[in-house]
Amino acid sequence: VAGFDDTPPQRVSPTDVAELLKVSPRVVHDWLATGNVPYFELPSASGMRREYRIPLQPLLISLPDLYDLAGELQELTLMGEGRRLTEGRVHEALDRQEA
Amino acid sequence: VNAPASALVVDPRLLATAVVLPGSDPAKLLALLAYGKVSAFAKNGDGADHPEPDPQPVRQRGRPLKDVQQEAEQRCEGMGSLLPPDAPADLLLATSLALTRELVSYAHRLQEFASYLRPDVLVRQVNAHAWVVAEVRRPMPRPGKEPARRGHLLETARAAGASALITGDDALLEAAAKEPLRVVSLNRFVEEDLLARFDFGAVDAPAVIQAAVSPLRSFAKSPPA
Repeated sequence: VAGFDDTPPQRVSPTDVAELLKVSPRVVHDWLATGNVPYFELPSASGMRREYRIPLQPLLISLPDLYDLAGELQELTLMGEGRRLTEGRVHEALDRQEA
Repeated sequence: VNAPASALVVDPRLLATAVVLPGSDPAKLLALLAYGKVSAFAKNGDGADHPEPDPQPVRQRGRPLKDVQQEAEQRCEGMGSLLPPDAPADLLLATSLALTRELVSYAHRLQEFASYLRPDVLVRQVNAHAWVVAEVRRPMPRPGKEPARRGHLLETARAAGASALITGDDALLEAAAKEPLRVVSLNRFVEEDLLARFDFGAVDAPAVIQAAVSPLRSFAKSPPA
């Protein structure tokens, strides 16, 4: 996500949020319009496009209200069943690309 | 960040494991953290103390705080019935953007054999249970004082005022002696903090976590006669 490499900003643009959560920027703007996520508007000159910033801490806490987490969790469990995943295999995968 | 004393920072590796392996010990810990968050909401609504009656209606994201609190109480009761007796309700997950970024990278690694585990899904499933999101400006390890690569875990724990950092990272565990912060492995945390209080092994993590995020009607009790 742009701008996240050196000094992670704690207030990010809708575009950054869209990229972080892998949703379209339109979805993020819908959340702003419906007040589903906290945001603030930057001061702008008349006639200029409105710019918004989203504070990350409240955003992350807001996420459960925005998604079907239960459905997503159920899907994860179903997909994982029968794959014979073990803690060893998981650790192996986590370690493999760290070198 | 004024975090409760029981806030824990959990290594993103453990959190990723918890999501991929719902029957694992990390998943049981995540279930307790989910219970802790709901319990905290049930006590305080938004987690903040409101000792004095507020003249203005307190709202959380547009909903009256009272409604949020009532919903949390109901959810808390449902989750509590799924947990072994005396399961702690005071463990809270603390995280940060740096840890979230690490989670994303683990999702990419795990996709090798779990292609269904998209990074955004992993982040949502973990952060749904986070109570404190600490502001860590940047991972700035102190040379010679702590592991260079994962200093952001320690930074997050410090910023969140966490009571412990739970990790399997040998370098972080070795650094523990130099830290005022408690850095322990999950096994040790379970042995020292949980087993004396209740039957950790009996935690049905999938059921508890599902109850934390399911619509309330799915475990609502019948109305009293």
